[in-house]
Amino acid sequence: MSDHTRRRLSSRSLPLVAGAAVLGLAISGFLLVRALGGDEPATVGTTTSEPRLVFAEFGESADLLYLAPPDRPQERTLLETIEHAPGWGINPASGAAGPLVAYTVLAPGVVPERDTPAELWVIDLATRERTRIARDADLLVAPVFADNGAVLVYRRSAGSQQELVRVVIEDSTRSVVHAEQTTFGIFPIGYAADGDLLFARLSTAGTDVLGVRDGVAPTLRFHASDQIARDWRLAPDGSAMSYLAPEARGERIVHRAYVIGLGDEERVLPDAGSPTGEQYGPTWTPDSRALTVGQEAETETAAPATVLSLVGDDPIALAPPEQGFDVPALWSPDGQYLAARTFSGVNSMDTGTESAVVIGTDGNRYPVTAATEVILIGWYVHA
Amino acid sequence: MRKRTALFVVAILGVVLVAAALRSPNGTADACAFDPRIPFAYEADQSRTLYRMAIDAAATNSLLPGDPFFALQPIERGVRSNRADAAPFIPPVLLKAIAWTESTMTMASRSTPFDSIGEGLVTFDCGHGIMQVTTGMTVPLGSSGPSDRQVTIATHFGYNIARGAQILAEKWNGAPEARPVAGTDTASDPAILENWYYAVWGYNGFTGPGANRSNHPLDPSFAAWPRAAYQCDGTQSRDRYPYQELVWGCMANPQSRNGVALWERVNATLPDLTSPAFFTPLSIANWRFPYSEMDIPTPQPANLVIAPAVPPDLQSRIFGSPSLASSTERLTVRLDDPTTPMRASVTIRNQGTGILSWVASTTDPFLIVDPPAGVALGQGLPCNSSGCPNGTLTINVNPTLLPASRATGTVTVTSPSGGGTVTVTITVLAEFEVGAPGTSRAR
Repeated sequence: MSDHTRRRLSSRSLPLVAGAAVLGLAISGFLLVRALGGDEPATVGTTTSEPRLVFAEFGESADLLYLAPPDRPQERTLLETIEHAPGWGINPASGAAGPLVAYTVLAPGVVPERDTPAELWVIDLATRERTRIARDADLLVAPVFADNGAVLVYRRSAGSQQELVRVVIEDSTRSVVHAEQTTFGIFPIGYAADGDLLFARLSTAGTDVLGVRDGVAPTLRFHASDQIARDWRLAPDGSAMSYLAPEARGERIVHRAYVIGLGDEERVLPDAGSPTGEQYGPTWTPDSRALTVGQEAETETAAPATVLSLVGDDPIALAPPEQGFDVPALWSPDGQYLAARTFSGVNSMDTGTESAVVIGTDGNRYPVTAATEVILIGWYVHA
Repeated sequence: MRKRTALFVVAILGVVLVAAALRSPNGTADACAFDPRIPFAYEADQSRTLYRMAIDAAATNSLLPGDPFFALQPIERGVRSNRADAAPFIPPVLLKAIAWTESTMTMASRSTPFDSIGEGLVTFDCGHGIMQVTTGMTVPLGSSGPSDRQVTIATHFGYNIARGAQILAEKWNGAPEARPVAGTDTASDPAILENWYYAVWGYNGFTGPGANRSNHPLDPSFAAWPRAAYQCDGTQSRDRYPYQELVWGCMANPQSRNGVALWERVNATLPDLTSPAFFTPLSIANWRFPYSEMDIPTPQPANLVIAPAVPPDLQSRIFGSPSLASSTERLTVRLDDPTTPMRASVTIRNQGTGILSWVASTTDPFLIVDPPAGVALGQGLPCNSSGCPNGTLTINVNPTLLPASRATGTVTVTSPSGGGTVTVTITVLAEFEVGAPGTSRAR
């Protein structure tokens, strides 16, 4: 095991870990070799195998879309070159939906400003077919997949009017799910298990999360914060939601992760790490049973991202960087790899340099090297 | 039946009128000042030497100090309850970083080489030139043409920079009536770079979190939190940063050309969003006009900027004493001679010094001038493109609008930056031998 790997596995989690490890061994010869070498991976919920990391390298006038094996990111395969307005890269949906990735982008030749209507595209990684879905999207608001990739929800604006638009990808039929006049903003989150489209609304009262269905007025699901919350993520099974919200701890304002159950089941995120420290990038494990959060380095030179169980298991600290902290982004569907952004600094006000990394549950870290910014998009599994 | 038809027509007319009224509440719409054509401008040297000197001068009101429109206004200083006019001053490095963020500090389009005259940099939202000036750069549709100010801002980098500095100063002076104050603990001293946080935010749009033009630093629209500092080197997407962080990042990472740094490196401090002193004012609850709860102290460590020295001959080099002249004041276009083009060119000369801005106009509908405005250079300004140092005005003829087979029109070329007026008389001959009726409206 790597010197950098920290694991805290309780006896209650051992059966789960063993089962997942067996599945992982059966799936991957590479992992088998490692396991036989005594490098038994600490796994989170598993669903599939052979994931490939989907990411883009930012370019001044075109982003390069790549696919790479998670433990060998340098062996990347160029999928597409996505041209855009100078300086303004793609803004992808968080995660792929099967073979589909989606993103907003300012087309080359348009006014390179943040409020210029953006194009919304879908790329099928299996066929490399690119489809333009819309030309009126808000660039800075990432689209959201729904219905296993059959549907996209995006935001568009006209003056102070903002609309959440649902598009069926197959035939591009669209409907406005919700529209409102606002000085601030509404942000699509995704569809809850009960069928509501969840969205966040900013106002002078802070951040509310609402649910809405076609033709029905939205209803308040919960008040998330008196401040601006962010990084909303639905659990893969739609049963809960996570987000970051600022709060006063010690003498500072720090962003902390929260979990809210969307059904009858109460979901409680255990407190972990420094009680006054910042947390980053709450990311659900594929089985929806745990949340992975990054944390500031504080007085230590490095802080690991930690898997926080919502079902009572002990936290699992992933392999930390040599220096700095990690911001989780996306778990691979098999739960073996976490794509993350990693910083050499201490916290949000002293980030140092930023890069991308794949953190294996085997205790290794696989840097996603690039001369420019890496935009993490999702994971793709060949059928 | 006839009555029903009449009612139908009236209904259709009503719908059209209502639609027109909704589209244009005042009965007018705006277009960019030179639409659909592009004015020409002078792109100076690649090291931006003249631009940098002009920015230094504009920042201290040494560029056009006596001009009733382009002089830099006094900059207010003091806290909310005690704010008063003070000397006009903007930290020059701020203007340089804004110029880089807006246009990579260029006056002309990318297709125009340095040290030459070519198409100006004009974006679809009517942003013009180095400072991407949009304010005041539109005209009502159907108006008679651009104003003198619009011509100089679009064609002459000196006026463009002066106007950009003014706009930034307007954003600063918007406090406290309509904007928050930055620097409550330093008397909001404009010589402190960090105190320009809100003014720079406003240069790109002072909008609330969640709006599609938001520059609020806590806006969840900026996808990644936390975000590394902007490096200003083309390696990071702008999607992730509010405008003021782009400018701060550029100040800390000066670009170089030909071994020359385009501005001095300044590691300006951003508000510490983990500190209640900054987080609380930036709370969404405080986003209420006139934003009086958003006042912040000076982010520390702060940078005090000293006014730069401006070369004494700068004004004469940039503006000089231009004098307008043309290669001809009378020309003929023969449409009835297939061997000659349906257009004529006029060379616009500057017999004086500095940069002469010119604008061409005509009241004759069959004449089309292109470009609508441009520049001609006086002695001493490097210029390598064809036609340099002169401007070239092309006069095209639209034969379908000729009032007769022999028509005379005039094009007036004026120089709003001083230098006079030239009138060019164009005679158009279109005396075709017509073999069939209807082939020429001219006869």
